Amino acid sequence: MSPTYQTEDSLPFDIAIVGLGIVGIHQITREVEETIRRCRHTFVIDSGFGVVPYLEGICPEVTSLFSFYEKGKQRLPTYRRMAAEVINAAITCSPVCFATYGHPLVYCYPAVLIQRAAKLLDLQVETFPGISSLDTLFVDLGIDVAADGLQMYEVTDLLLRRRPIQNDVPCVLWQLIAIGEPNYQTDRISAERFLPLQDYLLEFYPPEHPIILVTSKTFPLLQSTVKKYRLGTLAADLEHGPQVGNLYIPAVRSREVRDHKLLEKLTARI
Amino acid sequence: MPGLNDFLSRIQTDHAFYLQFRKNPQEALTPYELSSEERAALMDSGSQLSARLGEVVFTLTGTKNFVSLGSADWQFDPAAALRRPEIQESIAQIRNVTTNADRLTPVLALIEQVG
Repeated sequence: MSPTYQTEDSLPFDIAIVGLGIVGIHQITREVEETIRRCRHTFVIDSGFGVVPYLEGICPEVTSLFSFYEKGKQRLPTYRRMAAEVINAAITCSPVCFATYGHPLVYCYPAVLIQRAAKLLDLQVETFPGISSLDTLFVDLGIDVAADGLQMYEVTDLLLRRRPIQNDVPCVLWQLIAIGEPNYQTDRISAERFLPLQDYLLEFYPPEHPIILVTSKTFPLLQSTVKKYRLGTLAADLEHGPQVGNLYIPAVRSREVRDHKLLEKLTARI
Repeated sequence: MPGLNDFLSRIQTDHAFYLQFRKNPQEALTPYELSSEERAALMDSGSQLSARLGEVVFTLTGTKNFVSLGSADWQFDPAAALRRPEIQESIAQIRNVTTNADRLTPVLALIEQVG
Protein backbone atom coordinates (compact mmCIF):
# COMPACT_ATOMS: atom_id res chain seq x y z
CA MET A 1 0.00 0.00 0.00
CA SER A 2 1.46 3.35 -0.96
CA PRO A 3 1.71 5.92 1.82
CA THR A 4 -0.63 8.89 2.08
CA TYR A 5 0.99 12.19 2.87
CA GLN A 6 -0.26 15.20 4.79
CA THR A 7 1.63 17.98 3.03
CA GLU A 8 0.18 21.43 3.51
CA ASP A 9 0.41 24.53 1.35
CA SER A 10 0.06 27.05 4.12
CA LEU A 11 2.37 26.49 7.03
CA PRO A 12 3.78 29.37 9.08
CA PHE A 13 7.25 28.66 7.71
CA ASP A 14 9.03 27.90 4.45
CA ILE A 15 11.79 25.84 6.00
CA ALA A 16 11.62 23.61 9.06
CA ILE A 17 14.94 22.76 10.68
CA VAL A 18 14.52 19.67 12.83
CA GLY A 19 16.61 17.28 14.90
CA LEU A 20 16.08 13.52 14.65
CA GLY A 21 17.89 12.46 17.82
CA ILE A 22 20.76 10.04 18.18
CA VAL A 23 19.28 6.57 18.33
CA GLY A 24 17.09 6.68 15.26
CA ILE A 25 13.31 6.66 14.93
CA HIS A 26 12.77 6.07 18.68
CA GLN A 27 14.04 9.56 19.43
CA ILE A 28 12.13 11.49 16.76
CA THR A 29 9.83 13.74 18.74
CA ARG A 30 6.13 14.01 18.04
CA GLU A 31 6.63 17.66 17.08
CA VAL A 32 9.35 16.81 14.58
CA GLU A 33 7.40 13.96 13.02
CA GLU A 34 4.28 16.09 12.63
CA THR A 35 6.40 18.78 10.99
CA ILE A 36 8.03 16.39 8.53
CA ARG A 37 4.62 14.97 7.63
CA ARG A 38 3.49 18.41 6.50
CA CYS A 39 6.54 19.31 4.40
CA ARG A 40 6.79 18.67 0.67
CA HIS A 41 10.43 17.70 0.68
CA THR A 42 12.78 16.61 3.46
CA PHE A 43 16.55 16.84 3.17
CA VAL A 44 18.19 14.54 5.67
CA ILE A 45 21.59 13.98 7.24
CA ASP A 46 21.21 10.71 9.11
CA SER A 47 22.21 7.25 8.04
CA GLY A 48 20.93 5.44 11.07
CA PHE A 49 19.35 2.14 10.10
CA GLY A 50 15.84 2.59 8.75
CA VAL A 51 15.65 6.37 9.24
CA VAL A 52 15.48 7.43 5.59
CA PRO A 53 12.94 4.71 4.64
CA TYR A 54 10.84 5.81 7.61
CA LEU A 55 10.92 9.43 6.49
CA GLU A 56 10.00 8.32 2.96
CA GLY A 57 6.86 6.86 4.46
CA ILE A 58 5.73 10.19 5.91
CA CYS A 59 7.07 12.75 3.42
CA PRO A 60 6.55 12.56 -0.38
CA GLU A 61 10.13 13.50 -1.29
CA VAL A 62 13.19 12.68 0.78
CA THR A 63 16.76 13.45 -0.24
CA SER A 64 19.70 12.18 1.75
CA LEU A 65 22.49 14.75 1.92
CA PHE A 66 24.94 12.16 3.14
CA SER A 67 26.32 11.62 -0.33
CA PHE A 68 27.82 15.12 -0.16
CA TYR A 69 30.34 13.92 2.42
CA GLU A 70 33.43 12.75 0.58
CA LYS A 71 36.42 11.23 2.24
CA GLY A 72 39.37 13.60 2.13
CA LYS A 73 37.20 16.51 1.01
CA GLN A 74 36.94 19.70 3.08
CA ARG A 75 33.85 19.80 5.26
CA LEU A 76 32.99 23.49 4.84
CA PRO A 77 32.13 23.33 1.09
CA THR A 78 30.08 20.21 1.86
CA TYR A 79 28.02 22.08 4.47
CA ARG A 80 27.52 25.00 2.07
CA ARG A 81 26.28 22.65 -0.63
CA MET A 82 23.86 20.99 1.80
CA ALA A 83 22.47 24.38 2.82
CA ALA A 84 22.18 25.50 -0.82
CA GLU A 85 20.10 22.44 -1.72
CA VAL A 86 17.62 23.21 1.04
CA ILE A 87 17.36 26.93 0.27
CA ASN A 88 16.97 26.26 -3.45
CA ALA A 89 14.09 23.86 -2.87
CA ALA A 90 12.41 26.23 -0.40
CA ILE A 91 12.25 28.99 -3.01
CA THR A 92 9.96 26.99 -5.29
CA CYS A 93 8.50 24.17 -3.26
CA SER A 94 8.04 25.24 0.34
CA PRO A 95 7.50 24.04 2.98
CA VAL A 96 10.66 21.98 3.03
CA CYS A 97 12.47 20.37 5.92
CA PHE A 98 16.12 20.07 6.85
CA ALA A 99 16.40 17.09 9.19
CA THR A 100 19.60 16.06 10.85
CA TYR A 101 20.65 13.51 13.44
CA GLY A 102 21.01 14.94 16.91
CA HIS A 103 19.94 18.50 17.60
CA PRO A 104 19.83 20.81 14.58
CA LEU A 105 21.49 23.74 16.31
CA VAL A 106 24.10 21.85 18.28
CA TYR A 107 27.29 21.76 16.22
CA CYS A 108 25.42 21.80 12.91
CA TYR A 109 26.81 24.39 10.53
CA PRO A 110 24.47 23.71 7.58
CA ALA A 111 21.57 24.83 9.80
CA VAL A 112 23.41 28.07 10.60
CA LEU A 113 23.90 28.74 6.88
CA ILE A 114 20.26 27.95 6.08
CA GLN A 115 19.10 30.42 8.73
CA ARG A 116 21.37 33.18 7.41
CA ALA A 117 20.48 32.76 3.73
CA ALA A 118 16.78 32.45 4.53
CA LYS A 119 16.83 35.84 6.26
CA LEU A 120 18.24 37.45 3.13
CA LEU A 121 15.67 35.81 0.88
CA ASP A 122 12.59 36.47 3.06
CA LEU A 123 12.10 32.79 3.74
CA GLN A 124 10.55 31.95 7.11
CA VAL A 125 12.41 29.38 9.19
CA GLU A 126 11.18 27.49 12.20
CA THR A 127 13.46 25.23 14.22
CA PHE A 128 12.44 22.21 16.26
CA PRO A 129 14.88 20.64 18.72
CA GLY A 130 16.06 17.06 18.74
CA ILE A 131 17.84 14.94 21.31
CA SER A 132 21.53 15.77 21.08
CA SER A 133 24.55 13.72 22.01
CA LEU A 134 24.88 16.00 25.04
CA ASP A 135 21.50 14.73 26.22
CA THR A 136 22.50 11.11 25.66
CA LEU A 137 25.85 11.74 27.37
CA PHE A 138 24.04 12.78 30.56
CA VAL A 139 22.04 9.56 30.42
CA ASP A 140 25.03 7.37 29.58
CA LEU A 141 27.00 8.80 32.51
CA GLY A 142 24.03 9.11 34.85
CA ILE A 143 24.96 12.66 35.79
CA ASP A 144 23.07 15.85 36.52
CA VAL A 145 25.03 19.00 35.82
CA ALA A 146 23.25 20.92 38.55
CA ALA A 147 26.01 20.30 41.09
CA ASP A 148 29.01 21.95 39.43
CA GLY A 149 27.68 23.27 36.12
CA LEU A 150 29.16 22.43 32.75
CA GLN A 151 31.57 23.90 30.21
CA MET A 152 31.96 22.59 26.70
CA TYR A 153 34.17 23.20 23.71
CA GLU A 154 34.77 21.88 20.25
CA VAL A 155 38.03 19.98 20.64
CA THR A 156 39.94 21.60 17.76
CA ASP A 157 38.66 25.05 18.71
CA LEU A 158 39.89 24.45 22.28
CA LEU A 159 43.43 23.94 20.99
CA LEU A 160 43.26 26.61 18.30
CA ARG A 161 42.22 29.39 20.67
CA ARG A 162 43.89 27.99 23.79
CA ARG A 163 40.58 28.44 25.54
CA PRO A 164 40.93 28.52 29.32
CA ILE A 165 39.39 25.59 31.19
CA GLN A 166 37.91 25.98 34.64
CA ASN A 167 38.91 22.72 36.30
CA ASP A 168 36.29 22.92 39.06
CA VAL A 169 33.56 22.67 36.40
CA PRO A 170 32.99 19.44 34.41
CA CYS A 171 33.99 19.80 30.77
CA VAL A 172 32.62 18.23 27.58
CA LEU A 173 34.83 18.20 24.48
CA TRP A 174 33.03 17.71 21.18
CA GLN A 175 33.99 16.18 17.85
CA LEU A 176 36.96 14.12 18.91
CA ILE A 177 36.98 12.42 15.50
CA ALA A 178 37.56 15.76 13.75
CA ILE A 179 40.48 16.86 15.93
CA GLY A 180 42.83 19.03 13.90
CA GLU A 181 41.25 17.88 10.63
CA PRO A 182 39.29 20.17 8.27
CA ASN A 183 38.54 17.33 5.86
CA TYR A 184 35.98 14.58 6.21
CA GLN A 185 37.91 11.49 7.27
CA THR A 186 36.94 8.05 8.46
CA ASP A 187 40.46 6.69 9.03
CA ARG A 188 41.57 5.91 12.55
CA ILE A 189 43.54 8.64 14.30
CA SER A 190 47.06 8.07 15.59
CA ALA A 191 48.24 8.94 19.12
CA GLU A 192 50.34 11.76 17.64
CA ARG A 193 47.21 13.69 16.67
CA PHE A 194 45.82 13.37 20.19
CA LEU A 195 49.05 14.42 21.90
CA PRO A 196 48.49 18.20 21.63
CA LEU A 197 45.14 17.70 23.35
CA GLN A 198 46.70 15.63 26.13
CA ASP A 199 49.47 18.20 26.62
CA TYR A 200 47.04 21.10 26.70
CA LEU A 201 44.71 19.41 29.19
CA LEU A 202 47.70 18.68 31.43
CA GLU A 203 47.99 22.44 31.95
CA PHE A 204 44.70 22.25 33.87
CA TYR A 205 44.47 18.73 35.27
CA PRO A 206 46.86 16.28 36.97
CA PRO A 207 48.06 13.28 34.90
CA GLU A 208 46.04 10.83 36.99
CA HIS A 209 42.79 12.74 36.42
CA PRO A 210 40.07 10.62 34.76
CA ILE A 211 38.75 11.51 31.32
CA ILE A 212 35.84 9.62 29.86
CA LEU A 213 35.00 8.89 26.23
CA VAL A 214 31.26 8.47 25.77
CA THR A 215 29.97 6.85 22.60
CA SER A 216 26.22 6.92 22.75
CA LYS A 217 24.27 4.15 21.09
CA THR A 218 22.95 4.91 17.62
CA PHE A 219 20.56 1.99 17.44
CA PRO A 220 18.05 0.95 20.13
CA LEU A 221 19.53 -2.52 20.69
CA LEU A 222 23.10 -1.33 21.09
CA GLN A 223 24.68 -0.31 24.36
CA SER A 224 26.44 2.99 24.73
CA THR A 225 30.11 2.65 25.57
CA VAL A 226 31.81 4.59 28.34
CA LYS A 227 35.61 4.29 28.35
CA LYS A 228 37.52 5.74 31.26
CA TYR A 229 41.11 6.84 30.68
CA ARG A 230 43.78 8.72 32.65
CA LEU A 231 44.85 12.04 31.25
CA GLY A 232 48.53 11.14 31.43
CA THR A 233 48.08 8.35 28.87
CA LEU A 234 45.11 9.78 26.99
CA ALA A 235 46.69 10.01 23.52
CA ALA A 236 47.99 6.44 23.55
CA ASP A 237 44.71 5.11 24.94
CA LEU A 238 42.57 6.98 22.40
CA GLU A 239 44.63 5.55 19.56
CA HIS A 240 43.24 2.12 20.44
CA GLY A 241 39.80 3.26 21.63
CA PRO A 242 36.52 3.82 19.75
CA GLN A 243 37.54 7.42 18.74
CA VAL A 244 33.89 8.32 18.14
CA GLY A 245 31.98 10.31 20.72
CA ASN A 246 32.44 13.12 23.18
CA LEU A 247 34.96 13.43 25.98
CA TYR A 248 33.79 14.19 29.50
CA ILE A 249 36.22 15.50 32.09
CA PRO A 250 34.93 15.52 35.66
CA ALA A 251 35.76 18.46 37.90
CA VAL A 252 38.95 18.22 39.91
CA ARG A 253 37.13 19.54 42.98
CA SER A 254 33.95 21.37 43.92
CA ARG A 255 34.21 25.13 44.29
CA GLU A 256 33.84 26.31 47.85
CA VAL A 257 31.16 28.78 48.93
CA ARG A 258 32.43 32.37 48.87
CA ASP A 259 29.33 34.36 49.71
CA HIS A 260 28.65 33.27 53.28
CA LYS A 261 26.03 35.93 53.85
CA LEU A 262 23.96 34.53 50.99
CA LEU A 263 24.50 31.01 52.32
CA GLU A 264 23.26 32.06 55.74
CA LYS A 265 20.23 33.68 54.19
CA LEU A 266 19.47 30.57 52.13
CA THR A 267 19.96 28.11 54.97
CA ALA A 268 17.99 30.20 57.45
CA ARG A 269 14.82 29.38 55.52
CA ILE A 270 15.37 25.63 55.64
CA MET B 1 10.31 -15.40 5.82
CA PRO B 2 11.50 -12.01 7.07
CA GLY B 3 15.23 -11.59 7.66
CA LEU B 4 17.65 -9.42 9.60
CA ASN B 5 16.80 -6.12 7.91
CA ASP B 6 13.09 -6.67 8.50
CA PHE B 7 13.80 -7.35 12.15
CA LEU B 8 15.97 -4.22 12.54
CA SER B 9 13.36 -2.06 10.80
CA ARG B 10 10.64 -3.35 13.08
CA ILE B 11 12.77 -2.65 16.16
CA GLN B 12 12.93 0.97 15.01
CA THR B 13 9.29 1.42 14.09
CA ASP B 14 7.31 -0.85 16.42
CA HIS B 15 7.95 0.10 20.02
CA ALA B 16 5.81 -2.69 21.46
CA PHE B 17 7.87 -5.20 19.49
CA TYR B 18 11.08 -3.56 20.69
CA LEU B 19 9.94 -3.98 24.30
CA GLN B 20 8.86 -7.57 23.59
CA PHE B 21 12.35 -8.31 22.27
CA ARG B 22 13.95 -6.72 25.34
CA LYS B 23 11.77 -8.90 27.58
CA ASN B 24 11.85 -12.16 25.66
CA PRO B 25 14.30 -12.08 22.74
CA GLN B 26 13.97 -15.74 21.75
CA GLU B 27 10.23 -15.48 21.36
CA ALA B 28 10.41 -12.18 19.45
CA LEU B 29 12.91 -13.68 17.01
CA THR B 30 10.81 -16.76 16.22
CA PRO B 31 9.25 -15.45 12.97
CA TYR B 32 12.60 -14.30 11.55
CA GLU B 33 14.94 -16.30 9.39
CA LEU B 34 18.36 -15.53 10.81
CA SER B 35 21.74 -17.22 10.67
CA SER B 36 23.21 -18.43 13.95
CA GLU B 37 25.74 -15.55 13.77
CA GLU B 38 22.99 -12.98 13.30
CA ARG B 39 20.98 -14.48 16.14
CA ALA B 40 24.02 -14.44 18.45
CA ALA B 41 24.78 -10.84 17.52
CA LEU B 42 21.24 -9.72 18.30
CA MET B 43 21.41 -11.32 21.74
CA ASP B 44 24.71 -9.57 22.46
CA SER B 45 23.92 -5.80 22.38
CA GLY B 46 27.64 -5.13 22.66
CA SER B 47 30.55 -5.52 20.28
CA GLN B 48 29.06 -8.42 18.29
CA LEU B 49 25.89 -6.51 17.52
CA SER B 50 27.84 -3.36 16.89
CA ALA B 51 30.02 -5.17 14.36
CA ARG B 52 27.01 -6.73 12.69
CA LEU B 53 25.17 -3.42 12.57
CA GLY B 54 28.31 -1.78 11.26
CA GLU B 55 27.50 -3.44 7.98
CA VAL B 56 24.14 -1.74 7.78
CA VAL B 57 24.13 1.10 10.29
CA PHE B 58 26.27 4.17 9.99
CA THR B 59 27.92 5.20 13.21
CA LEU B 60 27.62 8.94 13.53
CA THR B 61 31.12 9.88 12.51
CA GLY B 62 30.04 12.47 9.97
CA THR B 63 30.41 15.66 11.93
CA LYS B 64 28.27 18.62 10.94
CA ASN B 65 30.29 21.46 12.34
CA PHE B 66 33.42 23.22 11.26
CA VAL B 67 35.84 25.27 13.30
CA SER B 68 36.19 28.91 12.48
CA LEU B 69 39.85 29.37 11.69
CA GLY B 70 39.71 33.13 11.33
CA SER B 71 37.55 35.81 12.87
CA ALA B 72 34.26 34.60 11.39
CA ASP B 73 31.34 36.65 12.66
CA TRP B 74 28.89 34.33 14.39
CA GLN B 75 26.65 37.31 15.16
CA PHE B 76 25.16 37.51 11.67
CA ASP B 77 23.66 40.90 10.80
CA PRO B 78 21.19 40.52 7.89
CA ALA B 79 20.84 44.29 7.38
CA ALA B 80 24.59 44.69 7.01
CA ALA B 81 24.73 41.67 4.72
CA LEU B 82 22.01 43.10 2.47
CA ARG B 83 24.08 46.26 1.96
CA ARG B 84 26.95 44.27 0.44
CA PRO B 85 26.94 44.61 -3.40
CA GLU B 86 27.98 40.99 -4.03
CA ILE B 87 25.08 39.75 -1.89
CA GLN B 88 22.66 42.06 -3.71
CA GLU B 89 23.92 40.63 -6.98
CA SER B 90 23.50 37.02 -5.83
CA ILE B 91 19.96 37.72 -4.65
CA ALA B 92 19.09 39.37 -7.98
CA GLN B 93 20.42 36.35 -9.86
CA ILE B 94 18.42 34.02 -7.62
CA ARG B 95 15.25 36.01 -8.36
CA ASN B 96 15.88 36.11 -12.11
CA VAL B 97 16.31 32.42 -12.88
CA THR B 98 13.36 30.10 -13.36
CA THR B 99 14.73 26.59 -13.04
CA ASN B 100 15.99 24.84 -9.95
CA ALA B 101 19.17 23.75 -11.70
CA ASP B 102 20.02 27.29 -12.80
CA ARG B 103 19.24 28.74 -9.39
CA LEU B 104 21.55 26.41 -7.46
CA THR B 105 24.70 28.27 -8.54
CA PRO B 106 23.66 31.74 -7.28
CA VAL B 107 22.16 30.19 -4.13
CA LEU B 108 25.48 28.50 -3.45
CA ALA B 109 27.26 31.79 -4.07
CA LEU B 110 25.00 33.51 -1.56
CA ILE B 111 25.67 30.78 1.02
CA GLU B 112 29.42 31.19 0.50
CA GLN B 113 29.02 34.93 1.08
CA VAL B 114 27.30 34.45 4.43
CA GLY B 115 29.40 31.77 6.01
